[in-house]
Amino acid sequence: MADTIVEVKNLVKRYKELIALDNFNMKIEKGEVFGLLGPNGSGKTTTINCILSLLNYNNGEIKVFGEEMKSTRYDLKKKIGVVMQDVAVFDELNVYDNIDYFCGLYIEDKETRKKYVEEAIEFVGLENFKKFKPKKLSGGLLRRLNIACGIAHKPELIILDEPTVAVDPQSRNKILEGITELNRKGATIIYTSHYMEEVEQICTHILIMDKGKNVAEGTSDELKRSIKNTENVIVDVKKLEDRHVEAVKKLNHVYDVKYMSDRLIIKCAGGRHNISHVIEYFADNGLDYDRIYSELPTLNDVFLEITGTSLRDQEA
Amino acid sequence: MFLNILCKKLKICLNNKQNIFWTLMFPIILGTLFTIAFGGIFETYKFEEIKTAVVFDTDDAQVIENAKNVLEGISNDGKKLLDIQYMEYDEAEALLKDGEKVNGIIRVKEDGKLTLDIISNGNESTIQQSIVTGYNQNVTMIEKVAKEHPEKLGEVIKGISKSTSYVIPKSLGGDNKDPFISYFYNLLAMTTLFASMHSLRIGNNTQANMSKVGARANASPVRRMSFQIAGFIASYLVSFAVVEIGLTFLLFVLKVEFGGDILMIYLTSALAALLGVALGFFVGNLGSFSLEKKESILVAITLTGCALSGLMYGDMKIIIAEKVPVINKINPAAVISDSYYALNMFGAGSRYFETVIYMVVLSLVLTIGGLLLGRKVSYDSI
Repeated sequence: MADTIVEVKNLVKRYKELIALDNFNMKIEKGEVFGLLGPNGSGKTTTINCILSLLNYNNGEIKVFGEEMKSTRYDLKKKIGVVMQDVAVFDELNVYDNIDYFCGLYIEDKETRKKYVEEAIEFVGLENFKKFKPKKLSGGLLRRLNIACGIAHKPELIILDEPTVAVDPQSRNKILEGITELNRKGATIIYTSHYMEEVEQICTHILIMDKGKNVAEGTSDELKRSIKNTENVIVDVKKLEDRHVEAVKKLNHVYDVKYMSDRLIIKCAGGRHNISHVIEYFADNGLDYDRIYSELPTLNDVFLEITGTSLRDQEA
Repeated sequence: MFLNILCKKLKICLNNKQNIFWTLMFPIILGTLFTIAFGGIFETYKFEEIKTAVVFDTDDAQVIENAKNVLEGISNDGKKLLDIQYMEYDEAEALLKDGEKVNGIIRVKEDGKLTLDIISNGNESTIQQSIVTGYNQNVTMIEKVAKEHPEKLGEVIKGISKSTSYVIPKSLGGDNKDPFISYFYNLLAMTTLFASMHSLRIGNNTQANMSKVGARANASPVRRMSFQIAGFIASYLVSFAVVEIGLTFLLFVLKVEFGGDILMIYLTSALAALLGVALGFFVGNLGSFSLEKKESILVAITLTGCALSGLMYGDMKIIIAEKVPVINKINPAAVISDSYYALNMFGAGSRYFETVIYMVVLSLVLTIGGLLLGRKVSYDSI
């Protein structure tokens, strides 16, 4: 039990008629980068706010570091760092003072705090912006400041709630590298996102949630292995007749085919050389195509297969 | 930890330049305008006696004698300010209509109070009104004391006689602007209440459902009370500084004579600043409205309060005192301006300390109310 950092059991949270969390369960072990993946409105932030005891919940149990989490458990809160979904800093304070303020809520010793603040600034790459007020920072730099404010006190558990929303690619990579680095230094991370590529890139354990429920969890490979889909063959081809689409459906190991926007997506379950069979069919029938390639299933395929909808569709 | 929060909160308040600018500029600009406007009035009326008809609507010899003594005794540097003519009402009315003969009719009523009949508002009328108001306030006070503490009546009458002989002559004529000093009291009250904008954000910044930094603060191992207290102290220090700077400008640059001990005036302002901060703190913790809505509520309270205490119309406070006296006891602007008035009129005595007690009680009620409203530790929705 000592290695379980967060344990959520049968958590129920209702907003009037809406059920935001429906008997939600989750267990996070020490040293994990735990990805909480789900579309907007799936309950990720509500889960985080319940874990932090910011929100009341209707039913269930939450344990942090093996102990029941309550709003007055300041000893537990001391070991947690949180990076909110929205930037939470003071416009009136500069970069250094903002980090110093939030770090000061956890670290009393002035010298230690100074060291930690400097390290946090270096960690997020804001050395040249120490005296800048938040309004003078770009969106990406602001996100980095937001992260620095949440991690400067070197917490054992770091909760990052969609830290890369509206961030430029350069800052995004810097943030993701930073999270991996924090984990390497011993922090357990909870990372929520609706960007599956990010979750796939950095998370050691992934939980997919939808409509307040835990719909699947495991490592990225485990999740992909758990579904029927093993390979997607994609063909960029113009004006393909329906009869050919139907014929491709009948090829070995093919269980689903979609043709839209001059793109044929062939889903395969098991089998080898699926792409060869497709190429062979196109050659035999004298069909021209621009490009053909094969992809392993993504977390989106996992989500699609489990829930019947795409993560990306729900974002819109 | 607390000190770090306090220092940063202080920095936040000081870096809120828009708030600082307006709370500082407000007394400077309006005070200057008041001085220019009222200064002109007094230049015109430096040594002119105001023709006044006095009519007795009573046969009570004591009331008549008291009124005569006071009205005839009003003077400046030995020179009478009212040119009094005693007559019947019909005659006085005819002279008033004539305009040149008398500027107003003071009627002495059965209950000992005075009323003023005027045809048009003017500077003479304002001075006459000021005299009538002051006289009536004293009569009311004497009646109250006679009813509630008859044993202190002699002492009060003596005190009033002293203050009447001091205030009224001093407040009229020369370079003093005392008939209009209540406008400056109200200006200071308004400055104090506008400075409460500094404390409005405390509640917002500590509530997880109101602001992002509030959510972050609630996720930290620091009790909400620490944030609230640190924010309160920081806001108070800034409000105090702003109010005292405004006061210093009025006293030493515009040379407004507030009357009373200068140290006591500064101490009164310090206490007024506390009341202002408490008001902002209370509104800031009030419900889950947006910051903009809370700002609107605070501005509405401030403007209404100042209007009721006489910032726009000098006699409004007296009207309120006669019609709905309780408002003057709970209206922060009225309580603050009344404390300056009491200090000027009666010195640092019981009348002044009564206003001090009102300020302290109101500050405590608002602060405790704010703390109670903001004590929630977790939320149903964020």
